[in-house]
Amino acid sequence: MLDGNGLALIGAAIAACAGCGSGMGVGIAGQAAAGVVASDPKKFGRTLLLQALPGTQGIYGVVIAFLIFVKTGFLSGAAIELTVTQGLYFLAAGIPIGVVGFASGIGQGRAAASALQLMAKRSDQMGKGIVYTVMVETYAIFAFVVSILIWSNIAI
Amino acid sequence: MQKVSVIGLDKIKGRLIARMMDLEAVELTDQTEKLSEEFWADNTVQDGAQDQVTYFEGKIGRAAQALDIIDQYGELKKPLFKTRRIVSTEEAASIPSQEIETEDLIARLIHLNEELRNKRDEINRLDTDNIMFEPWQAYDVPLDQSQTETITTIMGVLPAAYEKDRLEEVVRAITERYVMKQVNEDKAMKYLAFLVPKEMEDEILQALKDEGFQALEMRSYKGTVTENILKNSQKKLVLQEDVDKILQEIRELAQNKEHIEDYQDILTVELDKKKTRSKLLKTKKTFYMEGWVPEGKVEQVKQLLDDNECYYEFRDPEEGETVPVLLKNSKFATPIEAVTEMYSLPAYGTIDPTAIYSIWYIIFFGLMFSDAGYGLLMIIACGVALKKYNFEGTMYKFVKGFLYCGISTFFWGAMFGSWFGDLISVVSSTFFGKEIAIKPILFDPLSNPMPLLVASIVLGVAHLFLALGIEGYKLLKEGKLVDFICNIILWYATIIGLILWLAGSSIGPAATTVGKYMSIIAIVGLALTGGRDRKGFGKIMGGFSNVYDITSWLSDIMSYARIMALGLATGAIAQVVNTIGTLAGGGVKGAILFIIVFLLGHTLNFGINVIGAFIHSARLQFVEFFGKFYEDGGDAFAPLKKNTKYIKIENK
Repeated sequence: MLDGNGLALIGAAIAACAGCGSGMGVGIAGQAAAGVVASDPKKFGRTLLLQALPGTQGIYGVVIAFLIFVKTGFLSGAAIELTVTQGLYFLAAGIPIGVVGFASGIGQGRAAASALQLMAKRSDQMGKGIVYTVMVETYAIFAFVVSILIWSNIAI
Repeated sequence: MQKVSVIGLDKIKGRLIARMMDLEAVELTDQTEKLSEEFWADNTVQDGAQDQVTYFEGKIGRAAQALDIIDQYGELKKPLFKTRRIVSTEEAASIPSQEIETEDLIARLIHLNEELRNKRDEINRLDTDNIMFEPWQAYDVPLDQSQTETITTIMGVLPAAYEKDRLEEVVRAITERYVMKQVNEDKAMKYLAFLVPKEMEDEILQALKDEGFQALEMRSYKGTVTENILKNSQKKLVLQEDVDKILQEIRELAQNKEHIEDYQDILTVELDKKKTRSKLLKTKKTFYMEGWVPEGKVEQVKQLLDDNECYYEFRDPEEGETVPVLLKNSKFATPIEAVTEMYSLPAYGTIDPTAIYSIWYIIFFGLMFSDAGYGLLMIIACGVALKKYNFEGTMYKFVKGFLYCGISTFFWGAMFGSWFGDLISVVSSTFFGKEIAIKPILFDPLSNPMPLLVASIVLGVAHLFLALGIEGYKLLKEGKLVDFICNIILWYATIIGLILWLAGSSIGPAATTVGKYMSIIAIVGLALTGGRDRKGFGKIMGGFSNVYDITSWLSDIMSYARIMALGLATGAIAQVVNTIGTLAGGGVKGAILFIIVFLLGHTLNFGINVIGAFIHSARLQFVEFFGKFYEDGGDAFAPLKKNTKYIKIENK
């Protein structure tokens, strides 16, 4: 049923699912940001910065998906015939960022929302709020690195 | 910092405060606490000029109000960045001479604004009236002739859902002598007029109200409804003209905005002078003040105090005193102070890390953003902005800092062969049928990410070792040799040993063996010394947790993998954008699609990744680097100075 190319595409699709986490995270942060701006419209620029932070997981997901497309020749229209094993390798490459990105995107959204509250009360402490938020991203970055390492070592 | 205490004659304090503002060298401290001591309370009182403060605050409030009006209606072009105008001392000295004109201008603007509000209120009132009159146009009896000696008119509305027959019944129950007319009807309401005997008006009105009827009082208007509507429309036209005239005048007056700005700034300086007085203590003929002076400015302040014949004393900060912090860095590192300020200033007397990490920040930023095209854009944008605008303070630091980061981004982008991703090879092969590629100077991380990962980790270890070295320097300076060996040397040995053991095989088998024994000895050392300050069971626990800290070192080191991750993300998304742009192939149509996708996609990629590089580069300093040695919590030095918003007065 499943051939190698199909498995590789599923891997790319799973990687892109990291965007779910980013979507929710950016949403959570956006709600908090709107609350902050309601009381002080001048903070819009800075709330935008914090709201954008949980967006990176989705980007990492897209990057992995794209890298899989490139290596399998999916976009150029001349797809390489992959064996089932090779397909499974690509599938494996998609999973870390897809799964971890999903969870850490949501977590980072929550941290960003709290950082926004912090900024509403003490805008001079925004830097620390950013640090708390960026701590969450570390795990998405580790997953991204693992995905990259698997991807780069698949022999075609 | 030095603490200065000053006693001087009361009559010179105004001049002294003014000169201190020019120097920007003294941060006066509050003296209210002293008044709780008997000696001070008996001999001195707190100085202050509350009535003058209120006077100036009132004037500043009015000037600010006038500026708000100009902002709202002046239709002036706003510059991209707000910067202060540079004004010479002579020009600044001439501002108070225009006080009368400027006060007139402010008063005129505030008056115009009130007029404008009144006229607009009036227009609103006319509009509401006309909305009320609109359905009654068929009612052609003049409204002021609505009653005779015996008969009066009741006009009003009934919700459309109600039956008017019910009303008739109600009225008929009171009297047979009545006339009811429906003037109009729309979706919501029926518009009704009654002619009723005057003496029964109240009774009938009450009965109608109980049925849901709502009376409208229109007897105060003159003429018929249509006449009223016409009159109101004409009035509105006249008012509208007035409004336009007022707006026109505000726009003309707005040309003098700078006068008001100058004036407000001068007032603010005066206000600050008066406000400062509350930090002074005074007797009948003398005053007393204390303040912080940075080491470098002590001589200037001494000179000033001598000139004013004050008695003064300088001393070092005492233990437990909160001393303000003034960062002082080389021209190169100064812009990166903005990053330190974002975290928190160093505690007084501790190491300011800015100079040490600034080059690392710039390198990390470049590696994470790593695109020569984006780097060029940053260099051009920041370069032009610095030329065109007169930035100050944090804004200057940010723009200058981004210029450095842009250079670094350009450098690493060229090293990795990324110019807006693979723009050049994509465009040349799609539109010109011949692939031209710019070869990376080092290697292409997208096809071969391993070297970049290794480089990131190596840089990370070096960065962490530097931080550990600073902590070591601190310990040595304090003479804590044992701590230096246990906390610093043992860790260096552990980490270097482990690296050799795990990765030394490429150097030679000897390296692995050396690493093995080195790390084992160092780890045993860590276990033995970790609990040296504790007693009993704590000694074992301390040692254990010390060894366990190896994991936190591991996670610190791994954290630097983000340099590779963010670097790849920039390049990969740029390639995605370029690939999507070529989906329509070559030709004119393809070119149009490509240009649109190029502009949108690269703007987005630039935006997201510039934020990412900025923040993650800062995080590596804040968490990994600062975590090893940094003591923060200082308050910024805030000297007495001219706190102007719009003009920058040049000191002679």
